[in-house]
Amino acid sequence: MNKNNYNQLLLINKIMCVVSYLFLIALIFMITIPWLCPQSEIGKFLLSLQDFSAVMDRTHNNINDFMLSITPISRILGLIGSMFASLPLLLATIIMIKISGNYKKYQVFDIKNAILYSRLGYVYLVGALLLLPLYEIFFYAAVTINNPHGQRFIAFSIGIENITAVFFAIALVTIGQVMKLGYKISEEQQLTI
Amino acid sequence: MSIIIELDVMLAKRKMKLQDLARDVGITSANLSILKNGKAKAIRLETLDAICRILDCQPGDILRFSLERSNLE
Repeated sequence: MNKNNYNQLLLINKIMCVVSYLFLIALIFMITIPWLCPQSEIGKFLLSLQDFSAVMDRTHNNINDFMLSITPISRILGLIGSMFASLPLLLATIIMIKISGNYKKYQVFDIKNAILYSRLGYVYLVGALLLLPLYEIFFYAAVTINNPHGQRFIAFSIGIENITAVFFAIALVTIGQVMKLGYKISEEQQLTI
Repeated sequence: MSIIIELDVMLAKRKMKLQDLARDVGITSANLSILKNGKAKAIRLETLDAICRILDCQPGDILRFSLERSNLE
């Protein structure tokens, strides 16, 4: 590998590392703060960033009223729900950090990277089909847990967001499998005397 | 793999060094070593042609199929 290409790889590695670590910190901040300090302005702001309008409409709740009436049990449910929603992103960020580490070691079209890209796809697939619906279930439970009997409910929906995530997850798994195949072909080429 | 490479046997018979054969064939000794140790996945016909010409032998003198090894795998 020539020096120019190596420098480009190092640059990609640095950018990926910085972005991933910033993303990781922001994600942890966004998961925990709204549920640990719900009455604070930053907590309300971070919660308003998440798309709860459908939940609030269906439960006839207002986000400010909900924040004022929040109890420890609804906090725990909300935190668990947020964790479910953020788990795929958290795992994906960790995988991206690993991939960028491999780039630093000249391993670009390597079997390790192929496996990591496949894993990235599987993480998003599980996230779209299981964790996002679970997140909604927990969030509905958190919002309605303090309601009188008969007005508490859980619900989940599978919409265009889930379908888009499934599509990209399948694309990532396919890229990973093609990379694995490419690696095998290149290995055979290298071992052809 | 059930194909056994017997290049070392032929080299010993012809009293030739691996490095000399590699130089005559026009490949690196590292690559010839991969072939000799049975790590190679494939061999080009032109490489086999050159080896046979230099060692004055038949492809069957270098390559052998082992059914036992095939069954073990």
